[in-house]
Amino acid sequence: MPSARTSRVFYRLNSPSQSTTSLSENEDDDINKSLFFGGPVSSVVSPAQWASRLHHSADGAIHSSHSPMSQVPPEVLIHILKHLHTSRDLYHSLLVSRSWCECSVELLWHRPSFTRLSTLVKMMRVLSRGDQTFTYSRFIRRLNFLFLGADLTDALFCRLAQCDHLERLTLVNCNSISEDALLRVLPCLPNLVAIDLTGVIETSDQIIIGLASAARRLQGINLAGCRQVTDAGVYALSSSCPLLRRVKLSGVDQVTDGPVSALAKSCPLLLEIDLNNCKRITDISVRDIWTYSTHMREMRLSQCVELTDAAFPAPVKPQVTPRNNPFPTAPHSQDEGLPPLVIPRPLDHLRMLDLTGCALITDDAVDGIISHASKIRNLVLSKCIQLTDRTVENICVLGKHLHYLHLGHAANITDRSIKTLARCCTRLRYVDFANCVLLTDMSVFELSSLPKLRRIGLVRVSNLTDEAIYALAERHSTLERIHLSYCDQISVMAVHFLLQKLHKLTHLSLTGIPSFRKPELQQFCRQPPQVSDIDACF
Amino acid sequence: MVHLVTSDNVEFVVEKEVVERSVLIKNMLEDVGESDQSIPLANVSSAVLRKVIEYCEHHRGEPLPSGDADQNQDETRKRTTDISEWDQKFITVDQEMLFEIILAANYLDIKSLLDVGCKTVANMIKGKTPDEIRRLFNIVNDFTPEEEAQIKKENEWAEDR
Repeated sequence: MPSARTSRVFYRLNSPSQSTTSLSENEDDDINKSLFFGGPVSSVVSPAQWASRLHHSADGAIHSSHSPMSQVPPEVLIHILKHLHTSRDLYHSLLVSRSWCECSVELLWHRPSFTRLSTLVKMMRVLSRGDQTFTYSRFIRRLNFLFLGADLTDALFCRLAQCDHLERLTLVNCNSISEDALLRVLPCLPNLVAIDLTGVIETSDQIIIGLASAARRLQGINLAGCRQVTDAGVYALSSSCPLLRRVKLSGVDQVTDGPVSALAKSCPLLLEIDLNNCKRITDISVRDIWTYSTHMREMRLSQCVELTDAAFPAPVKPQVTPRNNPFPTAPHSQDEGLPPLVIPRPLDHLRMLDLTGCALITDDAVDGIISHASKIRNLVLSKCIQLTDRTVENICVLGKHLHYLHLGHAANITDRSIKTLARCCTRLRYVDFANCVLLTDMSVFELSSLPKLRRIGLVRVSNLTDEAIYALAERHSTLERIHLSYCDQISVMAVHFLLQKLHKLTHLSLTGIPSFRKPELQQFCRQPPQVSDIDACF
Repeated sequence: MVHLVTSDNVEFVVEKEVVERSVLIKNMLEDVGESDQSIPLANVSSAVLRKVIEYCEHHRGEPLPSGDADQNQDETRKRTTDISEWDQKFITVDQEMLFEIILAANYLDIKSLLDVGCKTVANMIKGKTPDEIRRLFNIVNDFTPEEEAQIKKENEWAEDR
């Protein structure tokens, strides 16, 4: 929000000293203001110098009582007031004097916060008054209605149309707002930088088109669950908002490749894209993201079930073809569709990649990804069922960059690659190998040497025995969450030992383990979690 | 070494590394280049400059905030009202000196010192009523009763919760 600092501070302030930053339009006002604090307060600093900050300092000495605070120029008073965090403190400052009022009022309205509907109603009533002391609506830069949700009615929401300086608007789950109201308000907000419409179900293409044509400087938009939005809306964003950085379309499931490719091509700053559950997305648009979005940091493609290896950068082959080969890319056959995706540069910004449920991808895809993006921190490959040890070996290349790895349902992977993984990626904090049924105690021995390990998921790794549990107990200084459901060889004794060792443990799941099916233990049971949990088992 | 002369005509000789915590002086030195000529600081008294130099000496070698990072730090700074122990002790002075240090830090452009001063004042304001704030800083309420009533009414939502 770079512009806000200077423009915000002196709105209607008419500060006598700061004419460079003030938007002072009225000379008479200046004089009025300067009457207060006008007196040269002698004893403090050498008055001549600091008095220059106080316009008309010589005349109109009103009060001579000693007040070091009165020496402080408005920009410093504002700096002081910025360190007040509660609306209440700002409100009290605002009532101190006229000059304090001028310095605090915009800070108070900058990001009005409220958790109750009645507060909002009060505030909105002020905005609709004709005789406001300040034009309060223009001070408002950020609004978050998360706490109100469905209580935010059209009548209240429509008042926002006058807040034309609004930069950040969060409407998460405000699902009572009608399409009409959204159509009326959003195109009136040309300064919007970020908007979150998660769960605002009436959001339509028309609304997004209106929003995009007004808010040309939009940088972030979240449309999660706005299922009415289609290609037309996303095209509008790509053509009108070239500064977009974060675009979240989770569950906007009618969206196809066209507008996603357009985003990649026309928004060069794009660094986060969420296409979870956008099932119509195919290799074509994902290839464009790799190709054009050079700043990409977080990519979520969970359940984009159409994706194949062709969606990802081709592995970098170390000199497979001789130097002078006149047909360097000959091997692929033309009729197989898309050629290998050659990305001539590293993708060093990528930190997060979620490919959950992209069941068509193979080791080749992961190979290509990792040979380009060597600094991935979070990698989710859950339910990519074709992956093998080769993938795990490639992941090892990420080394200390990798903190979070989910390989649930990669049923082909074996102890061999996990051993290497644990020795290469020593900063892993979170691992999940649910349903990796070939893994044995050996893997757990290796993983339990990870010094930062906080969470481990081993649901249905049914080879595990008590030996694995004893190994985990060694990791007593860090482990917080352990998932062992359906590891049916585990004994009560081993778990008892584990609990005695792990003082930081907050979660332990033991569903479906026969040795625990005893009445004296079942009294501690609670309902198993509903499916959709990250390590849900089936 | 850099020669500084205060408003009350006292000369200070300070190491360049120490005094360059002041962006104003740093820029001056860059413009003028090395010279034995003293820099007049007509806005700062010797008592205040002594304190300022004490601060700069203690924080010698710490990285200066860069101009660019400033924008981003604005938010983080806003959230942290905590002041380090040494700074806390350093800034425990009477109100007059406190504001003089703030003004000097503002003039000399020593961001971290300005922050320490401003946070200290903010901490003095927190939890007080308008009247208590006025008394604390000897400020005159110059609102007309009508103005005050209206402004109160327009902003009272802020007191909810």
